[in-house]
Amino acid sequence: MKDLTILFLTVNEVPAQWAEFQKQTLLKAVGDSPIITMSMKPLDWGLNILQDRPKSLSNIYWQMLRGAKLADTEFIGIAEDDTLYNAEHFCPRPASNEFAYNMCHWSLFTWGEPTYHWRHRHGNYSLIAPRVLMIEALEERFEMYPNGTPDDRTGELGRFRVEKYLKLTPRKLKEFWTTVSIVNFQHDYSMEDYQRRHVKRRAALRAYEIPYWGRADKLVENFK
Amino acid sequence: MTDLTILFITANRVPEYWAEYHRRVLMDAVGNNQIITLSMKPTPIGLNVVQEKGHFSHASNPDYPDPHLVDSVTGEYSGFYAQLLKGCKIATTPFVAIAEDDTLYSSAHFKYRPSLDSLAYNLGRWSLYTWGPPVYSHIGSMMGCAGIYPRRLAVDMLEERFKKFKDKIPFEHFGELGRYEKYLKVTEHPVETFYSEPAIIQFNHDYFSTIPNSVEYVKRRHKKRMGFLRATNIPYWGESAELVRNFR
Repeated sequence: MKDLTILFLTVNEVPAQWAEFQKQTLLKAVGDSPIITMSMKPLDWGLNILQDRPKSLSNIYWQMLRGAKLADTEFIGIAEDDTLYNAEHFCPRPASNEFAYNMCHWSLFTWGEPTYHWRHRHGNYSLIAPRVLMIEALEERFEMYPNGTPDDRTGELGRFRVEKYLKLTPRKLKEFWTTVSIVNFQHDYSMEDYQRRHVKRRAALRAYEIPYWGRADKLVENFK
Repeated sequence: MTDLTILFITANRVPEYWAEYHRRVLMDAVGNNQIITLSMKPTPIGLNVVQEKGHFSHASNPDYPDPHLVDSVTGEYSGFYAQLLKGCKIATTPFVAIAEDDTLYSSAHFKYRPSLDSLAYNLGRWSLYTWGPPVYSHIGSMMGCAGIYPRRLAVDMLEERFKKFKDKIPFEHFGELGRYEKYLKVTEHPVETFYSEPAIIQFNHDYFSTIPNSVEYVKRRHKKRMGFLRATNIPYWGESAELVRNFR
């Protein structure tokens, strides 16, 4: 996948064993795509760039802008440090004027009964974007908010509500589905308070075992 | 007595073992709600309304080959939506919920109530095919088996449809209330969606249109693509490979 750069985002707070497991899973999934790792602490894989702003939701998008400018491929695939990917996820390509989100994404809490659950949402961890469009959208965002966007208004590229709140140019969002899902872990090291306090509710559509990833109670054991 | 009547609609074509299993699961799920069973053969579940003098006829459009029920005496369409209207008129509760003979329900499903001007569909619905690998798959579409309606609204909408299409029913658009009104050019109404937990399970099988059930139709049906969101073990219902064994 020479036309896609993986932008891996981490603030290096997830547990070490998990970080290694997630990395190995990601490397298997991305094939020969170049990787840019945007981290708070140095990493010895991918083209490693240290983050230059404090941890915040807005900082995620700032780092994405920096990474997108360093890349030279037509497309960018976001990889977050709490999400497990498979190769199929990185295959679809959106049109040049739209952001694409993989809707086949299970969530898995690291607390409570290990259960996959799904809700209809567009997560940054599932984004595949045209690089030029990503730069254009993020430059607009940070020109308007040079000190960063407010946490309660910050959100995914192409999401109508986010762009409306931030008074940004609305851009197209496209959904795609893969036959193998990706799995987003929700955990104690998240920036979301609901996750840290374990009060986030599971979505109604739930599963104990799914194709490719297997049983939730086994998979969750890797988060340590 | 509650505010909901379950309208169980069956053509009594599903296998006997399954029918009995389904009955037990349904009875567990309905709780105190009353049931009206609209069937082709006597079916002792709730208040049973039997339509014995009916036969299946094919729609004229080859793109929509599933047979529809015709009243052998009057020659009129008496398929699913005619049965639904009949059930809605017999019921006396403010709300009705459809129960189909190939869908397994949880009691959580029957707890939802839409507002009185809206139709509701449970999107917490897994599909399970009786052919191929046994895997639950999910498509967030609004299916009749997952419908809960204000009774009066359903009566009005169905009567409007049958009044407009007295002579020739456009089967290609004669689908779920709330989904096809713009194609049928009848009054549109709002739709609400919800997810029950536990979900409901709709089986895809070969018994809903068995006359004729030619190799060609079966082949076509078995090409149906699964939803992309998939699971093999889910809360309440368990392993898909085990659950599917009940369909026999």
